[in-house]
Amino acid sequence: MNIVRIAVKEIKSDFRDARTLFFMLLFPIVLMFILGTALSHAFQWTVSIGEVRVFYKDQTAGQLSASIHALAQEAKKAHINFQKVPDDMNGKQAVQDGKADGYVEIGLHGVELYTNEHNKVKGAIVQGVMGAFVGQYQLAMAVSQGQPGSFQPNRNPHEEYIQERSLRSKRKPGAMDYYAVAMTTMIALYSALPGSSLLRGERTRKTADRLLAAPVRKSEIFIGKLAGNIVANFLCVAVVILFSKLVFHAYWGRHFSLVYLLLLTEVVLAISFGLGMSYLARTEGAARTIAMVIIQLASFFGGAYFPIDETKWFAHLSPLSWMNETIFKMVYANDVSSVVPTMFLNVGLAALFLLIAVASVARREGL
Amino acid sequence: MLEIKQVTKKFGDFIAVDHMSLSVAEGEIFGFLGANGAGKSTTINMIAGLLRPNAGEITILGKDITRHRQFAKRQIGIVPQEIAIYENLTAYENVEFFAGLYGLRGAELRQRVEEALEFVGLSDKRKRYPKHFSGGMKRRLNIACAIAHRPKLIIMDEPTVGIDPQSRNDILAAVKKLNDMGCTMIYTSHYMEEVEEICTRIAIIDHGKIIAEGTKEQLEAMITDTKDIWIEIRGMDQLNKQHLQDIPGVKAVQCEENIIKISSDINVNHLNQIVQCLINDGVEIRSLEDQSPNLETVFLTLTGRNLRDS
Amino acid sequence: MERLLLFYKLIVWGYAALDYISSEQRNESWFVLSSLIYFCLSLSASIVRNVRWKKGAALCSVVLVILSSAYVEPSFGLLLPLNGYELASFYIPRLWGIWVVLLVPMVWLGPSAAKLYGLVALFSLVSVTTAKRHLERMKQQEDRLDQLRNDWHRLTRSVNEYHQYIKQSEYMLQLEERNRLSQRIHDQIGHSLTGALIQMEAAKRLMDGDRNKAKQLLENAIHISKEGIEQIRMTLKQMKPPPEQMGINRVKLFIDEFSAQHHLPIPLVCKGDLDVITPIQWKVIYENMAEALTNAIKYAEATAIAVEIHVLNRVIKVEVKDNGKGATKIKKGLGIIGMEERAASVHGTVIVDGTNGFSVTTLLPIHE
Repeated sequence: MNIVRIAVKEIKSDFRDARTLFFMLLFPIVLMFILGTALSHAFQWTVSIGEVRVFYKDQTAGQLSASIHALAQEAKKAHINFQKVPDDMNGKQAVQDGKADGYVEIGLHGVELYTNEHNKVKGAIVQGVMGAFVGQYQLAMAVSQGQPGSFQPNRNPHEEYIQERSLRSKRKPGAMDYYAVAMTTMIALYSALPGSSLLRGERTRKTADRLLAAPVRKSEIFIGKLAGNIVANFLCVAVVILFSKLVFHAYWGRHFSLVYLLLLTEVVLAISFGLGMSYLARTEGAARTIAMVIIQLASFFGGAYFPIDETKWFAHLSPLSWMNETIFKMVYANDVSSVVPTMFLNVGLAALFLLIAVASVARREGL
Repeated sequence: MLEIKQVTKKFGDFIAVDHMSLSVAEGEIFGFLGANGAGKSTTINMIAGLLRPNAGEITILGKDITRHRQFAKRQIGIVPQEIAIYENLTAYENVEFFAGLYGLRGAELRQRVEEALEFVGLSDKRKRYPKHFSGGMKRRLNIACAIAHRPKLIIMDEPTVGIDPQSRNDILAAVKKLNDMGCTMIYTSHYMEEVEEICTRIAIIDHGKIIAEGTKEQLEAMITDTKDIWIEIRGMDQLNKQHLQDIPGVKAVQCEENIIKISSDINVNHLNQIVQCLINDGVEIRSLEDQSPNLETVFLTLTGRNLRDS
Repeated sequence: MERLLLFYKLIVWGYAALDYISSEQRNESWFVLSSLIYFCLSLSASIVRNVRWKKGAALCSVVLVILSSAYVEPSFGLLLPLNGYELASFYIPRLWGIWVVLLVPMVWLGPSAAKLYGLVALFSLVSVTTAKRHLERMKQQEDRLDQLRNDWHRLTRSVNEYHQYIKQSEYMLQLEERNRLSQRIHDQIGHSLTGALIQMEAAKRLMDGDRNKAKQLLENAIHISKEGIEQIRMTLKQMKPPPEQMGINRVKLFIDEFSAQHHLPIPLVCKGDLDVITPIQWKVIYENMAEALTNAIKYAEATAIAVEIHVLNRVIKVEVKDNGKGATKIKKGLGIIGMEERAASVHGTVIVDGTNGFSVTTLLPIHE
């Protein structure tokens, strides 16, 4: 009963605190809006490439010339310039010197492609186009070999040499979707700040003496305050999620309740972390600073401000990257396999920090 | 009511309370007088169960407070030295929260909270937040939080630090009123006037020890058995010194220019007679100064230091 | 001891973790999970006070270590000696027994793993055992120190009591002395005076008749009286103690000597009626003052020390105050405790203050 009383008081005073409302509600929503709209281009992946120049030699004595010609025509639209070079010119050398981005030798036995190491993107484009071309050619051969006469060569066989593929598919997050998740997980981590002043705040406010003078156990105070703080911060996170969903139309997938559960464990982790810090550091200011620095580092490396290359080793150090990865997998790939391990990881780390706090509370007189 | 036996509290090498023994009877207003850091707050915190003594025993209503922790806590209301209230809760909610921790529920809780707010004169401000309160109002709310559960023993640790004279008088009146309602009070202060005014018994504490204990009169009698009255008059030639010396209790009369210095027995109040005598002799009284000892002089004499500046 | 074990565990775990990171096959989440559980168990084992819970935690740790070395990461097994030691120490009293038990797993291990395991096991056993030995010895010594301290307290108290006893005996001696004095007055002076009186009475009667006889008797009486006066003078001379051994004079003498010896001005101020101070209180005053002066010379680096004896209405206040460096934190030494106990023997207190120079104030109540 006393636990409930203390928890309710905690929630009440948290929501009346302007700082809480600012940090936990306004801050993430505004940031979400700004980053989601301002950095939206970062998620459409447009890279300006310029003209691609390809040299080719046709040694097949006309068998494929028509096709090549068609390819060249088609490629021109996509700013890929196929240029036939005289037989005596060294195409490879041209590529090496950077005069051309690719050199194609079409012989009787197949197509040989040379690209320049220094210009991988253009090389890849040429390779892709030629791959499509070769595939088309072999397919046509195969069909014409199998049933002679019946095969009508595709009227526009070359249109598909260059496929336009939109990177903005439904299965990939857009800017707003990305930042909705990233901001929410980041804000859950910010719960460490109220966590760091959870019990120490009572001490500096002198109300700790009053609490301890009342016929209440230390454990009741501890649990009540912890529970109240978790509920209050989780409510903030929930509001942020709902806001992003309803107002910004961010996509949160179908496993809505699992997302909430996952974020709850993160809130627990963050608050326990803050609490643990408040007992490891000497002063309240120090605890706050340490918590703040760690939150900022975790946010940065966890991809809260912009996506981080996942292959980098440091990306995995931040709890935000586990969280974001798990949520993205769940929302966009429908893959819930990593939800349970992530939750366990959060709760386990939280238990470790809580143990530190409990051990120091049990030892000292007062809170 | 409260008994402290040979209690010692150490913080590392520092001995905050040194083999202290005292007992407070029911219905008393017991004053702890001492400089800052003398060990008053430490003693109080041990009584309230916030600190554990290194040695010795504290009993409340005959029960040991370490063994009957919850019982002891219910008997005590503590008004801490610093204001200990939640700024984000209204006056009413503050009192309600703390009273609720003492197990009060429902209608009874509401009634007691109203009573407590009424008592400190804040019932019209119940919905306001303490951040808009003046220092005196915060102090009063601080008291309300401690009395809503009707404790038998109320401990006030320097409740008048840094407030205006009006609020201070209000608080002193509240202490007396609570005492009249049957509460035993423990009152600490380093303002000797307050302690002199309201306490029925006083312990002078220094360096964690009780160096003197008793009523104001007993304490004053420790250092002297005479009190001096200085009277500035006009018309010294009309004065008959013998008349003054004949008043019972007067020990010596000394005349210097236009000031009469009368030393007399500390236990006798004969100010009226002295004044009457002077009027009869046709002397004009310009001013009258009571030079009798007070607790400040007691403290100064015994410890060689002032209450405030050490 | 527990903290030390925790550190050892952390070191070995760190090795296991490094080993794990450098190995190819990874099972990250399991490794992290079992590490977390392991930390939780170790920490909670050091928090709980109940021995049964400690045993439980130790057992769980051993099981966890074995399971995770089998399924997650073999190098986890290196933690076994430490945890096994913890568990086994609850059940096996003999040290070598624990050693043998902990070396048994080597049988199942491959040769290279067994080498590493054996090395870690031996190192942990030796270090834990020595640490334990040292801690035990330290505890023993602390106990002995406590015992000594208690003895010391007891002895000082009995010494004080002894002092009181001496005081009592002195008083008894005084009474005896007085007795002797009155006896002597009675025996000698009384006798001679009575003799003289009788002779004078007789002389008065014979004055008119036999003048010569009367004259002779008076001569006799004068002689006896002279003798008596001489005897009184002798007795008084024998009885009277030398003035320098009494009350304030003794204090003055000590202060003068002390002042000369240390080349320090030590003014002495006395206020009030010194006659109310009883001999036993003089003794306490004298000893406390001597102790305080000695302390001031030893620690204070003072250039002047003032002694004040002030007899108030109900208390005697004796203050020894120096102008030296003082002390913000006062650590009670034997000297201060001794002063306190002496003062307590006559229901007084001692206030030691180091805020402005160093002052020792002895307050003794006056009993009427």
